[in-house]
Amino acid sequence: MISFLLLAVAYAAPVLLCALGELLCERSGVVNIGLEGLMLVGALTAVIVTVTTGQPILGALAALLASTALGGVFAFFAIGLKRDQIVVGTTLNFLALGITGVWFRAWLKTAKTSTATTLPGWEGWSFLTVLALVLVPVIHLVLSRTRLGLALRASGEKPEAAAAAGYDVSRLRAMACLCCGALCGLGGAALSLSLSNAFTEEMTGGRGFVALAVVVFGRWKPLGVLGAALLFALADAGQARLQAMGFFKVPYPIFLMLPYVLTLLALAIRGAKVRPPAALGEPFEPG
Amino acid sequence: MKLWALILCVGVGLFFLCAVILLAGASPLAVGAALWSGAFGSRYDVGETLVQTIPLVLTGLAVALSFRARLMNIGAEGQLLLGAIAATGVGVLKLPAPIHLPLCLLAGALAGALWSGLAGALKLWRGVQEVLSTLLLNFIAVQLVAWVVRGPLQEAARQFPQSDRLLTPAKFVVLLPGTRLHAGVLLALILTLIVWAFLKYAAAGFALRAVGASPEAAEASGIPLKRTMLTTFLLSGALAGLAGAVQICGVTYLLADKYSPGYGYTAIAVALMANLSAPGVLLSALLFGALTAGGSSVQQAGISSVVIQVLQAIVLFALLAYGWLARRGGRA
Repeated sequence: MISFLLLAVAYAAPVLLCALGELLCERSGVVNIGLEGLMLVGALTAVIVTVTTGQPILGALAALLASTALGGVFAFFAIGLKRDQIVVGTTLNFLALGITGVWFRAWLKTAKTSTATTLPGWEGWSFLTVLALVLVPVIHLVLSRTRLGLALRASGEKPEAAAAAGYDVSRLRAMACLCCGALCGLGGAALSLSLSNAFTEEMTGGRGFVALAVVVFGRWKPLGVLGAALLFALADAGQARLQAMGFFKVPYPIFLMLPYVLTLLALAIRGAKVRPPAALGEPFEPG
Repeated sequence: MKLWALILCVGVGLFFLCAVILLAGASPLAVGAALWSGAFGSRYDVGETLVQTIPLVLTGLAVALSFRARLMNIGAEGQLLLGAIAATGVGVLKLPAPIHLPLCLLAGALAGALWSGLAGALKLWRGVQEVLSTLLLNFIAVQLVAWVVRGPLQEAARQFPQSDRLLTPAKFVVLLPGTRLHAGVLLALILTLIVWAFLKYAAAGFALRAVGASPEAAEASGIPLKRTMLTTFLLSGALAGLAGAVQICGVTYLLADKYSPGYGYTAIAVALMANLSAPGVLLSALLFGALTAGGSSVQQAGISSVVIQVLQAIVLFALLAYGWLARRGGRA
């Protein structure tokens, strides 16, 4: 039972990292639906760099940098140019899906092996799992107790007020987007270097979108996000285990569908009661 | 000013595209040549381009319609899949010949509308953002297809994860001998005209645009907000569902696992490039149709066909940047 719970936490880590990044974005007033793409780029970068250098730590670091850069692309279009955030996020997903597919296949032709050394750890746990858990209280404290956190929340709730208090709303939001990229990159690395040891195309399999739902279900709060991510991971690990034990004679696709159905149900049940940050998705026009 | 901005955006876009291709160890010129010959090289290839254009027109219209009302329906993919399931279900039945094809199409449209209507209902009565619900419904639809082709709709031989073939009266006729171009192209043209007229002249179309421009103002002037939104969801889903039915009745004649190569996602690019106008969708769908058809032959140039997605993304980013430059230029 304990090992099952530990496994669930390991499963939850990639989604949790992404969801924490999205939480920062959304609390600052930006919706980034490009999580899936950011994660995918992180996962591929992590594997390529690890195989090339033999150092999984370097791989994770490179994943962080690559996805942060891509987060910067999002920030440039969504905040700098004030384009529609949903459209920019969708485009980012296209780009990531295409680029990872193209480069992965090109790399396979030249690489001696596509199997990477995994991050030091145990049963899917690595320092990234621990980092994800540690970040929950850290982000909670930063948001609730520091001046920076207050400014960030203000730019998501009432950007005019944040601007009047002397904060640069666009810069705060751009910073949140970069952090989101960094965390998604680490999430991708956790997926390809900790939960597995290789990259496969579309390996994120919708985790980025589940992370989006986790933020809403967790009511835009770090602790809530932790709870939601664990809940979904438990369901995920649980269904894998039940399936392996042959408990139910339910067709496999129906099982694969379950996490998404549950997410949708969860949103529908809680939906009416939760309130997103007031300025979510609105570009900020100073003056 | 505008021309200058356009050249700049296209230039920067091409630069990035070439960089991606070069980094993958292929030659941009060879990729371009392979794309062109794959899309327009022969009579068959031109037919293929048009075949790929048809579902993109229908899903593109679906996305444009909902985006016009500022409803972010990014679930055209799932709605298309539901349409394909329903059309297959009706297509393998024994029905009177003259109404068989119309019934398949109707079933597809209804199933698509049901799927998007679900997202609409969740938004209006439970406050679930449609961006999330339509995305999640896409994933559910993919698994639903995987299940029906192994379960209720699997072929009688029970060998492969695919359905039985459609009965002949349920199929579209082939228009151009020697190609796969089918009569569904006419349906796509007619629907483009209808959507254009609906948005321009119908009262409901006006309500839709008013809700998109400003929900508060629309409501204040007596437009029923909820009803307009729900109608938009249903119409949008019906168009996307129809796209799935048209694919079944015109191209594949059966349902198989991994049914759509992402038409519903490309549709977002199609609609945005068309600036959300119905006639524009026709043109941009043709462009992306050519890219999709040509994409199958870029492998000869030593690169994976997913490079088409990079191209799509770069086109969109260039459009986004152009939109900004053009607006800024207008103000200055």
